[in-house]
Amino acid sequence: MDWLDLSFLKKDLKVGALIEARGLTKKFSGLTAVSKVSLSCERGHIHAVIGPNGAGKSTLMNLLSGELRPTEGKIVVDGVDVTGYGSTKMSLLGVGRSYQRTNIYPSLSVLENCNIAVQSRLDMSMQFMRSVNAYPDVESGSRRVIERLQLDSLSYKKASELSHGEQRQIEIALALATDPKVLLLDEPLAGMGAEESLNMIALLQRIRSDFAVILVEHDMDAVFALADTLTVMQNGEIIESDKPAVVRSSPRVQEAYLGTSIDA
Amino acid sequence: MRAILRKLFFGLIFLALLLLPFWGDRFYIQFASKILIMIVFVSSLNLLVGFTGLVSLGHAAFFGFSGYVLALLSPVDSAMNFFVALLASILCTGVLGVIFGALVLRTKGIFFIMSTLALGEMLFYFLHDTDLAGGSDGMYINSRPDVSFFDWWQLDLANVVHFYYLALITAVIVLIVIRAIIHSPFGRVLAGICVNEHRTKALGYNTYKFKLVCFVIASMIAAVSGFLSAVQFGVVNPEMVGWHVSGHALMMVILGGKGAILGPVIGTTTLMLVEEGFQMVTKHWQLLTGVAIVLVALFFPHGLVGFKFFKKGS
Repeated sequence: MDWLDLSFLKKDLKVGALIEARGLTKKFSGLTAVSKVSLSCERGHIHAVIGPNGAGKSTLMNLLSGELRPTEGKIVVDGVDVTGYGSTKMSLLGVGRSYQRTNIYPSLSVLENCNIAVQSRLDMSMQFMRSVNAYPDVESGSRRVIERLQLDSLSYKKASELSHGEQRQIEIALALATDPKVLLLDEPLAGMGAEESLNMIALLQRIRSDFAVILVEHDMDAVFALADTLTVMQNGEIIESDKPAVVRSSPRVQEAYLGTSIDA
Repeated sequence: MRAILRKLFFGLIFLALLLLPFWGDRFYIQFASKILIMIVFVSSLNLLVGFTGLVSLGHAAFFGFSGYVLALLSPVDSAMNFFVALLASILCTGVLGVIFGALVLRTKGIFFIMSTLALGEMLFYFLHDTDLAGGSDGMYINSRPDVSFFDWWQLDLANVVHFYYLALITAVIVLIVIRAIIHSPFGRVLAGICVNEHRTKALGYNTYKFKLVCFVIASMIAAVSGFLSAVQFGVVNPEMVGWHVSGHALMMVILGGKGAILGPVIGTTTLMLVEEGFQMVTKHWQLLTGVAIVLVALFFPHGLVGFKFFKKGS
Protein backbone atom coordinates (compact mmCIF):
# COMPACT_ATOMS: atom_id res chain seq x y z
CA MET A 1 0.00 0.00 0.00
CA ASP A 2 2.97 2.29 -0.63
CA TRP A 3 1.06 4.31 -3.15
CA LEU A 4 -1.37 5.38 -0.49
CA ASP A 5 -0.09 8.09 1.77
CA LEU A 6 -1.64 7.57 5.15
CA SER A 7 0.51 10.02 7.03
CA PHE A 8 -2.31 12.57 7.19
CA LEU A 9 -4.23 10.14 9.35
CA LYS A 10 -1.47 9.96 11.89
CA LYS A 11 -0.91 13.68 12.09
CA ASP A 12 -3.36 14.29 14.89
CA LEU A 13 -2.72 11.03 16.66
CA LYS A 14 -0.26 11.63 19.44
CA VAL A 15 2.69 9.32 19.32
CA GLY A 16 2.31 6.50 21.79
CA ALA A 17 -1.15 7.49 22.96
CA LEU A 18 -2.77 4.26 24.10
CA ILE A 19 -6.16 5.80 24.47
CA GLU A 20 -7.46 8.91 22.84
CA ALA A 21 -10.85 10.60 22.82
CA ARG A 22 -11.66 13.07 20.08
CA GLY A 23 -14.59 15.41 20.44
CA LEU A 24 -16.57 13.02 22.59
CA THR A 25 -20.13 14.13 23.15
CA LYS A 26 -22.91 12.40 25.03
CA LYS A 27 -26.46 13.70 25.07
CA PHE A 28 -29.18 12.28 27.26
CA SER A 29 -32.46 13.44 25.73
CA GLY A 30 -31.70 17.11 25.73
CA LEU A 31 -29.07 17.19 28.46
CA THR A 32 -25.52 17.27 27.21
CA ALA A 33 -23.55 15.39 29.85
CA VAL A 34 -20.28 15.43 27.97
CA SER A 35 -19.51 17.96 25.29
CA LYS A 36 -16.66 17.80 22.78
CA VAL A 37 -14.14 16.29 25.15
CA SER A 38 -10.76 15.40 23.74
CA LEU A 39 -7.99 13.84 25.76
CA SER A 40 -5.31 11.23 25.46
CA CYS A 41 -2.97 9.21 27.58
CA GLU A 42 0.17 7.21 26.95
CA ARG A 43 1.84 4.37 28.77
CA GLY A 44 3.24 5.26 32.18
CA HIS A 45 1.21 8.44 32.38
CA ILE A 46 -1.64 9.30 34.65
CA HIS A 47 -4.19 11.66 33.22
CA ALA A 48 -6.44 12.90 35.99
CA VAL A 49 -9.89 14.32 35.36
CA ILE A 50 -11.42 16.50 38.04
CA GLY A 51 -14.47 18.68 38.27
CA PRO A 52 -17.42 19.41 40.50
CA ASN A 53 -20.29 16.94 40.83
CA GLY A 54 -22.27 16.71 37.64
CA ALA A 55 -19.35 17.82 35.50
CA GLY A 56 -19.65 14.67 33.39
CA LYS A 57 -16.65 12.76 34.69
CA SER A 58 -18.46 9.48 35.27
CA THR A 59 -20.23 9.75 31.95
CA LEU A 60 -16.86 10.28 30.32
CA MET A 61 -15.54 7.14 32.02
CA ASN A 62 -18.59 5.18 30.88
CA LEU A 63 -18.00 6.39 27.33
CA LEU A 64 -14.33 5.43 27.40
CA SER A 65 -15.09 1.98 28.82
CA GLY A 66 -17.82 1.31 26.29
CA GLU A 67 -20.65 1.20 28.76
CA LEU A 68 -22.23 4.17 27.02
CA ARG A 69 -22.23 4.93 23.33
CA PRO A 70 -21.07 8.41 22.40
CA THR A 71 -23.50 10.63 20.53
CA GLU A 72 -20.59 12.13 18.64
CA GLY A 73 -16.85 11.83 18.57
CA LYS A 74 -14.31 9.10 18.38
CA ILE A 75 -12.43 6.81 20.72
CA VAL A 76 -9.13 5.32 19.61
CA VAL A 77 -7.38 2.62 21.60
CA ASP A 78 -3.83 1.78 20.60
CA GLY A 79 -4.44 3.02 17.06
CA VAL A 80 -7.74 1.19 16.60
CA ASP A 81 -10.98 3.12 16.21
CA VAL A 82 -13.22 1.56 18.85
CA THR A 83 -16.09 4.03 18.77
CA GLY A 84 -19.35 2.26 19.53
CA TYR A 85 -17.76 -0.86 20.99
CA GLY A 86 -19.46 -2.27 24.10
CA SER A 87 -17.78 -2.86 27.43
CA THR A 88 -17.04 -6.51 26.65
CA LYS A 89 -15.15 -5.68 23.46
CA MET A 90 -13.38 -2.76 25.11
CA SER A 91 -12.18 -5.04 27.88
CA LEU A 92 -10.89 -7.57 25.38
CA LEU A 93 -9.03 -4.78 23.56
CA GLY A 94 -7.16 -3.91 26.73
CA VAL A 95 -9.24 -1.28 28.48
CA GLY A 96 -9.67 -2.23 32.13
CA ARG A 97 -11.73 -0.20 34.53
CA SER A 98 -12.61 0.17 38.17
CA TYR A 99 -15.90 1.53 39.39
CA GLN A 100 -16.81 4.36 41.68
CA ARG A 101 -19.24 2.09 43.51
CA THR A 102 -17.48 -1.13 44.35
CA ASN A 103 -18.41 -3.65 41.70
CA ILE A 104 -16.93 -7.01 42.60
CA TYR A 105 -18.19 -10.53 43.40
CA PRO A 106 -19.11 -10.20 47.07
CA SER A 107 -20.02 -13.83 47.72
CA LEU A 108 -16.82 -15.23 46.19
CA SER A 109 -13.32 -15.40 47.62
CA VAL A 110 -10.68 -12.90 46.55
CA LEU A 111 -8.90 -15.61 44.61
CA GLU A 112 -12.09 -16.66 42.83
CA ASN A 113 -12.83 -12.99 42.04
CA CYS A 114 -9.48 -12.73 40.28
CA ASN A 115 -9.86 -16.14 38.64
CA ILE A 116 -12.93 -14.95 36.76
CA ALA A 117 -11.02 -11.92 35.53
CA VAL A 118 -7.88 -13.84 34.54
CA GLN A 119 -9.85 -16.55 32.76
CA SER A 120 -11.36 -13.94 30.45
CA ARG A 121 -7.96 -13.67 28.73
CA LEU A 122 -7.48 -17.40 28.26
CA ASP A 123 -9.35 -19.25 25.59
CA MET A 124 -11.21 -21.90 27.57
CA SER A 125 -14.29 -20.38 29.07
CA MET A 126 -16.61 -22.47 26.91
CA GLN A 127 -15.02 -25.65 28.23
CA PHE A 128 -17.76 -27.18 30.36
CA MET A 129 -16.76 -30.77 30.97
CA ARG A 130 -13.23 -30.42 32.34
CA SER A 131 -12.47 -29.31 35.86
CA VAL A 132 -11.00 -25.87 36.50
CA ASN A 133 -8.10 -27.76 38.07
CA ALA A 134 -7.02 -28.77 34.59
CA TYR A 135 -6.12 -25.14 33.95
CA PRO A 136 -3.59 -24.03 36.56
CA ASP A 137 -2.69 -20.96 34.49
CA VAL A 138 -5.77 -19.17 35.74
CA GLU A 139 -4.97 -19.49 39.39
CA SER A 140 -1.29 -18.71 38.96
CA GLY A 141 -2.29 -15.57 37.06
CA SER A 142 -4.57 -14.58 39.90
CA ARG A 143 -1.85 -15.17 42.44
CA ARG A 144 0.51 -12.90 40.53
CA VAL A 145 -2.03 -10.08 40.62
CA ILE A 146 -2.82 -10.68 44.28
CA GLU A 147 0.89 -10.65 45.12
CA ARG A 148 1.43 -7.49 43.14
CA LEU A 149 -1.22 -5.74 45.18
CA GLN A 150 0.08 -7.36 48.37
CA LEU A 151 -3.26 -8.95 49.15
CA ASP A 152 -1.87 -12.46 49.71
CA SER A 153 -3.25 -12.75 53.20
CA LEU A 154 -6.79 -12.18 51.90
CA SER A 155 -6.78 -14.76 49.09
CA TYR A 156 -9.27 -17.13 50.66
CA LYS A 157 -11.46 -14.54 52.33
CA LYS A 158 -14.90 -13.79 50.98
CA ALA A 159 -14.92 -10.38 49.33
CA SER A 160 -18.00 -9.34 51.29
CA GLU A 161 -16.11 -9.90 54.55
CA LEU A 162 -13.35 -7.44 53.66
CA SER A 163 -13.11 -3.84 54.80
CA HIS A 164 -14.17 -1.12 52.41
CA GLY A 165 -10.56 -0.22 51.65
CA GLU A 166 -9.71 -3.82 50.89
CA GLN A 167 -12.73 -4.15 48.63
CA ARG A 168 -11.54 -1.09 46.73
CA GLN A 169 -8.25 -2.88 46.18
CA ILE A 170 -10.07 -5.95 44.87
CA GLU A 171 -11.82 -3.57 42.51
CA ILE A 172 -8.39 -2.58 41.15
CA ALA A 173 -7.22 -6.20 41.20
CA LEU A 174 -10.10 -7.25 38.93
CA ALA A 175 -9.13 -4.59 36.42
CA LEU A 176 -5.44 -5.54 36.58
CA ALA A 177 -6.20 -9.24 36.26
CA THR A 178 -7.47 -8.69 32.72
CA ASP A 179 -3.96 -7.55 31.78
CA PRO A 180 -5.05 -4.19 30.36
CA LYS A 181 -3.08 -1.55 28.48
CA VAL A 182 -5.34 1.24 29.61
CA LEU A 183 -6.69 1.60 33.14
CA LEU A 184 -9.75 3.71 33.79
CA LEU A 185 -10.01 4.40 37.50
CA ASP A 186 -13.25 5.95 38.63
CA GLU A 187 -12.66 7.45 42.07
CA PRO A 188 -10.47 4.68 43.46
CA LEU A 189 -10.30 6.52 46.77
CA ALA A 190 -14.06 6.90 47.20
CA GLY A 191 -15.09 6.44 50.81
CA MET A 192 -11.59 5.68 52.05
CA GLY A 193 -10.00 6.81 55.28
CA ALA A 194 -6.73 8.76 55.35
CA GLU A 195 -4.51 5.74 55.84
CA GLU A 196 -6.33 3.61 53.27
CA SER A 197 -5.99 6.49 50.80
CA LEU A 198 -2.24 6.65 51.31
CA ASN A 199 -2.00 2.91 50.74
CA MET A 200 -3.99 3.18 47.55
CA ILE A 201 -1.87 6.08 46.28
CA ALA A 202 1.26 4.06 47.01
CA LEU A 203 -0.25 1.12 45.17
CA LEU A 204 -1.02 3.23 42.12
CA GLN A 205 2.50 4.66 42.17
CA ARG A 206 3.89 1.12 42.19
CA ILE A 207 1.93 -0.09 39.18
CA ARG A 208 1.57 3.06 37.09
CA SER A 209 4.52 2.49 34.77
CA ASP A 210 2.79 -0.36 32.91
CA PHE A 211 -0.42 1.38 31.96
CA ALA A 212 -1.97 4.46 30.51
CA VAL A 213 -4.13 5.57 33.41
CA ILE A 214 -7.13 7.84 33.27
CA LEU A 215 -8.08 8.77 36.79
CA VAL A 216 -11.22 10.47 38.04
CA GLU A 217 -10.80 11.52 41.63
CA HIS A 218 -12.07 14.02 44.15
CA ASP A 219 -9.14 13.74 46.54
CA MET A 220 -6.88 16.63 45.51
CA ASP A 221 -3.87 15.35 47.43
CA ALA A 222 -4.04 12.14 45.45
CA VAL A 223 -4.55 13.94 42.17
CA PHE A 224 -1.54 16.19 42.64
CA ALA A 225 0.57 13.30 43.89
CA LEU A 226 -0.23 11.12 40.91
CA ALA A 227 -1.23 13.10 37.84
CA ASP A 228 1.06 13.96 34.93
CA THR A 229 -1.72 15.78 33.18
CA LEU A 230 -4.75 17.32 34.77
CA THR A 231 -8.00 18.01 32.99
CA VAL A 232 -10.71 20.07 34.65
CA MET A 233 -14.30 19.59 33.55
CA GLN A 234 -17.33 21.69 34.21
CA ASN A 235 -20.83 21.21 32.80
CA GLY A 236 -19.57 18.53 30.49
CA GLU A 237 -16.83 20.62 28.97
CA ILE A 238 -13.11 20.77 29.46
CA ILE A 239 -12.18 24.17 30.84
CA GLU A 240 -8.50 23.49 31.32
CA SER A 241 -6.06 20.71 30.54
CA ASP A 242 -2.37 20.94 31.29
CA LYS A 243 0.34 20.01 33.76
CA PRO A 244 -0.99 20.02 37.31
CA ALA A 245 1.12 23.00 38.35
CA VAL A 246 -0.19 25.06 35.46
CA VAL A 247 -3.78 24.08 36.10
CA ARG A 248 -3.40 24.86 39.77
CA SER A 249 -2.56 28.47 39.00
CA SER A 250 -5.14 28.95 36.29
CA PRO A 251 -7.55 31.64 37.43
CA ARG A 252 -10.37 30.13 35.41
CA VAL A 253 -10.07 26.83 37.20
CA GLN A 254 -9.75 28.42 40.58
CA GLU A 255 -12.87 30.35 39.97
CA ALA A 256 -14.84 27.44 38.59
CA TYR A 257 -13.92 24.64 40.84
CA LEU A 258 -10.93 24.74 43.10
CA GLY A 259 -11.93 27.97 44.73
CA THR A 260 -9.93 28.74 47.81
CA SER A 261 -9.42 25.17 48.89
CA ILE A 262 -6.21 24.92 46.99
CA ASP A 263 -4.58 27.80 48.80
CA ALA A 264 -5.75 26.69 52.17
CA MET B 1 -16.42 -36.61 62.26
CA ARG B 2 -19.35 -35.02 60.53
CA ALA B 3 -17.72 -35.60 57.18
CA ILE B 4 -17.55 -39.32 57.88
CA LEU B 5 -21.13 -39.41 59.11
CA ARG B 6 -22.16 -37.53 56.02
CA LYS B 7 -20.45 -40.00 53.71
CA LEU B 8 -21.95 -42.87 55.66
CA PHE B 9 -25.37 -41.27 55.45
CA PHE B 10 -25.25 -40.77 51.70
CA GLY B 11 -23.71 -44.20 51.22
CA LEU B 12 -26.58 -45.78 53.11
CA ILE B 13 -29.13 -43.82 51.15
CA PHE B 14 -27.61 -44.92 47.89
CA LEU B 15 -27.55 -48.52 49.09
CA ALA B 16 -31.17 -48.22 50.12
CA LEU B 17 -32.00 -46.84 46.67
CA LEU B 18 -30.24 -49.77 45.03
CA LEU B 19 -32.08 -52.27 47.18
CA LEU B 20 -35.46 -50.54 47.13
CA PRO B 21 -37.03 -52.81 44.50
CA PHE B 22 -36.41 -55.85 46.69
CA TRP B 23 -38.67 -54.77 49.49
CA GLY B 24 -40.81 -51.93 48.22
CA ASP B 25 -44.11 -52.71 46.58
CA ARG B 26 -44.98 -51.71 43.06
CA PHE B 27 -46.54 -48.39 43.98
CA TYR B 28 -43.54 -47.21 45.94
CA ILE B 29 -41.07 -48.26 43.29
CA GLN B 30 -43.07 -46.29 40.75
CA PHE B 31 -43.23 -43.34 43.09
CA ALA B 32 -39.48 -43.49 43.65
CA SER B 33 -38.94 -43.47 39.88
CA LYS B 34 -41.16 -40.41 39.67
CA ILE B 35 -39.06 -38.67 42.30
CA LEU B 36 -35.84 -39.55 40.49
CA ILE B 37 -37.18 -38.18 37.20
CA MET B 38 -38.27 -35.03 38.97
CA ILE B 39 -34.81 -34.69 40.53
CA VAL B 40 -33.35 -34.63 37.03
CA PHE B 41 -35.81 -31.96 35.95
CA VAL B 42 -35.39 -29.80 39.06
CA SER B 43 -31.59 -30.09 38.81
CA SER B 44 -31.73 -28.76 35.26
CA LEU B 45 -33.80 -25.83 36.48
CA ASN B 46 -31.33 -25.27 39.31
CA LEU B 47 -28.59 -24.87 36.71
CA LEU B 48 -30.47 -21.77 35.56
CA VAL B 49 -31.93 -20.49 38.83
CA GLY B 50 -29.22 -21.40 41.30
CA PHE B 51 -26.02 -21.30 39.30
CA THR B 52 -26.70 -18.61 36.72
CA GLY B 53 -29.32 -16.48 38.43
CA LEU B 54 -31.94 -16.95 35.71
CA VAL B 55 -35.33 -17.54 37.31
CA SER B 56 -37.41 -19.32 34.69
CA LEU B 57 -41.13 -19.99 34.96
CA GLY B 58 -41.27 -21.76 31.63
CA HIS B 59 -38.87 -24.60 32.11
CA ALA B 60 -41.62 -27.22 31.86
CA ALA B 61 -41.86 -26.33 28.16
CA PHE B 62 -38.74 -28.44 27.61
CA PHE B 63 -39.92 -31.20 29.92
CA GLY B 64 -43.17 -31.60 28.05
CA PHE B 65 -41.85 -30.89 24.57
CA SER B 66 -39.36 -33.72 24.90
CA GLY B 67 -42.16 -36.10 25.80
CA TYR B 68 -44.13 -34.92 22.78
CA VAL B 69 -41.16 -35.52 20.51
CA LEU B 70 -41.08 -39.10 21.71
CA ALA B 71 -44.84 -39.50 21.29
CA LEU B 72 -44.80 -38.06 17.79
CA LEU B 73 -41.82 -40.10 16.69
CA SER B 74 -42.97 -43.41 18.12
CA PRO B 75 -44.55 -45.63 15.50
CA VAL B 76 -47.99 -46.95 16.43
CA ASP B 77 -47.25 -50.63 16.18
CA SER B 78 -43.56 -51.13 16.82
CA ALA B 79 -41.03 -50.01 19.40
CA MET B 80 -38.40 -47.42 18.66
CA ASN B 81 -34.79 -47.84 19.62
CA PHE B 82 -34.44 -46.22 23.04
CA PHE B 83 -31.15 -44.44 22.36
CA VAL B 84 -32.26 -43.07 19.01
CA ALA B 85 -35.49 -41.82 20.56
CA LEU B 86 -33.69 -40.26 23.54
CA LEU B 87 -31.14 -38.55 21.32
CA ALA B 88 -33.89 -37.24 19.05
CA SER B 89 -35.84 -35.87 22.01
CA ILE B 90 -32.76 -34.19 23.47
CA LEU B 91 -31.72 -32.64 20.18
CA CYS B 92 -35.19 -31.39 19.22
CA THR B 93 -35.64 -29.92 22.69
CA GLY B 94 -32.17 -28.38 22.41
CA VAL B 95 -33.29 -26.61 19.22
CA LEU B 96 -36.37 -25.33 21.05
CA GLY B 97 -34.00 -24.25 23.84
CA VAL B 98 -31.93 -22.21 21.38
CA ILE B 99 -35.04 -20.50 20.02
CA PHE B 100 -36.63 -19.77 23.40
CA GLY B 101 -33.30 -18.87 24.98
CA ALA B 102 -32.30 -16.49 22.21
CA LEU B 103 -35.55 -14.61 22.79
CA VAL B 104 -35.95 -14.59 26.56
CA LEU B 105 -32.29 -13.89 27.36
CA ARG B 106 -32.66 -10.48 25.78
CA THR B 107 -34.58 -9.56 28.91
CA LYS B 108 -33.57 -9.39 32.56
CA GLY B 109 -35.08 -9.83 36.00
CA ILE B 110 -38.85 -9.75 36.21
CA PHE B 111 -39.10 -9.40 32.42
CA PHE B 112 -37.14 -12.58 32.04
CA ILE B 113 -39.53 -14.41 34.36
CA MET B 114 -42.54 -13.07 32.48
CA SER B 115 -41.21 -13.91 29.03
CA THR B 116 -40.27 -17.47 30.01
CA LEU B 117 -43.78 -17.81 31.41
CA ALA B 118 -45.26 -16.40 28.20
CA LEU B 119 -43.34 -18.72 25.88
CA GLY B 120 -44.15 -21.73 28.04
CA GLU B 121 -47.84 -20.89 27.99
CA MET B 122 -47.73 -20.31 24.25
CA LEU B 123 -46.46 -23.84 23.81
CA PHE B 124 -49.13 -25.09 26.21
CA TYR B 125 -51.95 -23.52 24.23
CA PHE B 126 -50.41 -24.56 20.96
CA LEU B 127 -50.47 -28.20 22.08
CA HIS B 128 -53.82 -27.81 23.82
CA ASP B 129 -55.74 -26.14 21.02
CA THR B 130 -54.38 -27.75 17.88
CA ASP B 131 -54.92 -31.28 16.66
CA LEU B 132 -51.28 -31.72 15.84
CA ALA B 133 -50.59 -33.84 18.92
CA GLY B 134 -53.90 -34.97 20.32
CA GLY B 135 -55.08 -31.59 21.58
CA SER B 136 -56.13 -31.36 25.18
CA ASP B 137 -56.16 -35.14 25.61
CA GLY B 138 -52.55 -35.55 24.70
CA MET B 139 -51.10 -38.63 23.07
CA TYR B 140 -50.44 -42.21 24.01
CA ILE B 141 -47.13 -43.91 23.43
CA ASN B 142 -48.34 -47.33 22.46
CA SER B 143 -45.09 -49.18 22.48
CA ARG B 144 -42.35 -48.03 24.79
CA PRO B 145 -38.88 -47.64 23.29
CA ASP B 146 -36.81 -50.72 23.20
CA VAL B 147 -33.62 -50.73 25.29
CA SER B 148 -31.53 -53.53 23.95
CA PHE B 149 -27.82 -53.76 23.49
CA PHE B 150 -27.84 -55.78 20.28
CA ASP B 151 -29.15 -59.15 21.33
CA TRP B 152 -27.47 -59.98 24.57
CA TRP B 153 -29.13 -57.65 27.04
CA GLN B 154 -32.47 -56.00 27.27
CA LEU B 155 -34.37 -53.74 29.63
CA ASP B 156 -38.13 -53.94 29.73
CA LEU B 157 -39.35 -50.39 30.33
CA ALA B 158 -42.85 -51.55 31.18
CA ASN B 159 -41.32 -53.46 34.05
CA VAL B 160 -41.44 -51.22 37.11
CA VAL B 161 -38.15 -52.47 38.54
CA HIS B 162 -36.26 -52.16 35.27
CA PHE B 163 -37.57 -48.66 34.79
CA TYR B 164 -36.62 -47.74 38.32
CA TYR B 165 -33.00 -48.67 37.74
CA LEU B 166 -32.95 -46.74 34.49
CA ALA B 167 -34.24 -43.66 36.32
CA LEU B 168 -31.71 -44.13 39.12
CA ILE B 169 -28.76 -44.43 36.73
CA THR B 170 -29.97 -41.43 34.74
CA ALA B 171 -30.34 -39.29 37.86
CA VAL B 172 -26.84 -40.20 39.03
CA ILE B 173 -25.33 -39.46 35.61
CA VAL B 174 -27.14 -36.13 35.37
CA LEU B 175 -25.97 -35.07 38.83
CA ILE B 176 -22.39 -35.97 37.91
CA VAL B 177 -22.68 -34.01 34.65
CA ILE B 178 -24.07 -30.96 36.45
CA ARG B 179 -21.32 -31.18 39.03
CA ALA B 180 -18.75 -31.26 36.24
CA ILE B 181 -20.31 -28.19 34.59
CA ILE B 182 -20.28 -26.23 37.83
CA HIS B 183 -16.61 -26.99 38.44
CA SER B 184 -15.52 -26.23 34.88
CA PRO B 185 -14.20 -22.93 33.49
CA PHE B 186 -17.65 -22.47 31.95
CA GLY B 187 -19.25 -22.92 35.37
CA ARG B 188 -16.91 -20.28 36.75
CA VAL B 189 -18.25 -17.77 34.25
CA LEU B 190 -21.81 -18.79 35.16
CA ALA B 191 -20.98 -18.11 38.81
CA GLY B 192 -19.68 -14.71 37.77
CA ILE B 193 -22.89 -13.97 35.88
CA CYS B 194 -24.97 -15.18 38.82
CA VAL B 195 -23.21 -12.96 41.35
CA ASN B 196 -22.55 -9.86 39.23
CA GLU B 197 -23.38 -9.92 35.55
CA HIS B 198 -22.47 -6.29 34.98
CA ARG B 199 -18.90 -6.86 36.13
CA THR B 200 -18.63 -10.12 34.23
CA LYS B 201 -19.54 -8.28 31.04
CA ALA B 202 -17.00 -5.57 31.78
CA LEU B 203 -14.33 -8.22 32.28
CA GLY B 204 -14.70 -9.21 28.65
CA TYR B 205 -17.28 -11.98 28.70
CA ASN B 206 -20.09 -12.02 26.20
CA THR B 207 -22.56 -12.97 28.92
CA TYR B 208 -25.43 -13.45 26.49
CA LYS B 209 -23.54 -16.26 24.80
CA PHE B 210 -22.76 -17.96 28.10
CA LYS B 211 -26.33 -17.66 29.32
CA LEU B 212 -27.63 -19.05 26.04
CA VAL B 213 -25.34 -22.09 26.18
CA CYS B 214 -26.38 -22.67 29.79
CA PHE B 215 -30.04 -22.29 28.85
CA VAL B 216 -29.71 -24.85 26.08
CA ILE B 217 -27.85 -27.31 28.31
CA ALA B 218 -30.57 -26.92 30.94
CA SER B 219 -33.27 -27.48 28.33
CA MET B 220 -31.53 -30.63 27.11
CA ILE B 221 -31.26 -32.04 30.63
CA ALA B 222 -34.93 -31.20 31.15
CA ALA B 223 -35.54 -33.14 27.94
CA VAL B 224 -34.03 -36.24 29.51
CA SER B 225 -36.46 -36.02 32.41
CA GLY B 226 -39.44 -35.32 30.16
CA PHE B 227 -38.51 -38.24 27.99
CA LEU B 228 -38.33 -40.61 30.97
CA SER B 229 -41.59 -39.28 32.34
CA ALA B 230 -43.34 -39.92 29.02
CA VAL B 231 -41.88 -43.40 28.91
CA GLN B 232 -42.97 -44.13 32.48
CA PHE B 233 -46.61 -43.24 32.00
CA GLY B 234 -46.85 -43.99 28.30
CA VAL B 235 -48.76 -40.79 27.76
CA VAL B 236 -48.11 -37.09 27.22
CA ASN B 237 -50.54 -34.23 27.65
CA PRO B 238 -50.42 -30.43 27.55
CA GLU B 239 -50.28 -30.21 31.36
CA MET B 240 -46.68 -31.35 31.12
CA VAL B 241 -45.61 -28.04 29.58
CA GLY B 242 -47.86 -25.84 31.73
CA TRP B 243 -46.56 -23.34 34.21
CA HIS B 244 -47.82 -25.47 37.10
CA VAL B 245 -45.04 -27.93 36.46
CA SER B 246 -42.51 -25.09 36.16
CA GLY B 247 -43.73 -23.48 39.36
CA HIS B 248 -43.71 -26.76 41.22
CA ALA B 249 -40.12 -27.38 40.14
CA LEU B 250 -39.12 -23.86 41.12
CA MET B 251 -40.60 -24.48 44.54
CA MET B 252 -38.48 -27.61 44.88
CA VAL B 253 -35.34 -25.70 43.89
CA ILE B 254 -35.99 -23.05 46.51
CA LEU B 255 -37.08 -25.55 49.15
CA GLY B 256 -33.93 -27.62 48.71
CA GLY B 257 -31.59 -24.68 48.33
CA LYS B 258 -30.62 -23.04 45.07
CA GLY B 259 -27.03 -23.01 43.98
CA ALA B 260 -26.22 -26.36 45.56
CA ILE B 261 -26.05 -29.60 43.63
CA LEU B 262 -27.79 -31.46 46.44
CA GLY B 263 -30.48 -28.80 46.75
CA PRO B 264 -32.81 -30.20 44.07
CA VAL B 265 -32.29 -33.73 45.35
CA ILE B 266 -33.33 -32.82 48.88
CA GLY B 267 -36.01 -30.33 47.81
CA THR B 268 -37.67 -32.66 45.32
CA THR B 269 -37.65 -35.68 47.60
CA THR B 270 -38.95 -33.73 50.55
CA LEU B 271 -41.73 -31.96 48.74
CA MET B 272 -42.94 -35.02 46.90
CA LEU B 273 -42.91 -37.15 50.04
CA VAL B 274 -44.61 -34.46 52.07
CA GLU B 275 -47.30 -33.96 49.44
CA GLU B 276 -47.86 -37.68 49.14
CA GLY B 277 -48.01 -38.05 52.92
CA PHE B 278 -50.51 -35.24 53.37
CA GLN B 279 -52.64 -36.58 50.52
CA MET B 280 -53.03 -39.81 52.44
CA VAL B 281 -54.12 -37.96 55.55
CA THR B 282 -56.48 -35.31 54.30
CA LYS B 283 -58.25 -33.88 51.30
CA HIS B 284 -56.86 -30.48 52.19
CA TRP B 285 -53.28 -31.57 51.73
CA GLN B 286 -52.35 -28.41 49.85
CA LEU B 287 -53.02 -26.36 52.95
CA LEU B 288 -50.65 -28.50 54.99
CA THR B 289 -48.04 -28.41 52.23
CA GLY B 290 -48.28 -24.63 52.22
CA VAL B 291 -47.68 -24.49 55.95
CA ALA B 292 -44.70 -26.83 55.63
CA ILE B 293 -43.17 -24.66 52.92
CA VAL B 294 -43.64 -21.50 54.95
CA LEU B 295 -41.96 -23.18 57.92
CA VAL B 296 -38.98 -24.23 55.83
CA ALA B 297 -38.68 -20.75 54.36
CA LEU B 298 -38.78 -19.35 57.88
CA PHE B 299 -36.21 -21.64 59.47
CA PHE B 300 -34.04 -22.45 56.44
CA PRO B 301 -33.96 -19.30 54.34
CA HIS B 302 -31.28 -20.84 52.14
CA GLY B 303 -33.21 -24.05 51.71
CA LEU B 304 -32.89 -27.41 53.36
CA VAL B 305 -29.24 -27.72 52.30
CA GLY B 306 -28.71 -24.98 54.87
CA PHE B 307 -29.29 -27.74 57.40
CA LYS B 308 -25.81 -28.18 58.84
CA PHE B 309 -25.63 -31.89 58.34
CA PHE B 310 -25.61 -31.52 54.55
CA LYS B 311 -22.84 -28.98 54.55
CA LYS B 312 -19.32 -29.84 53.62
CA GLY B 313 -16.48 -28.94 55.94
CA SER B 314 -17.02 -27.20 59.23
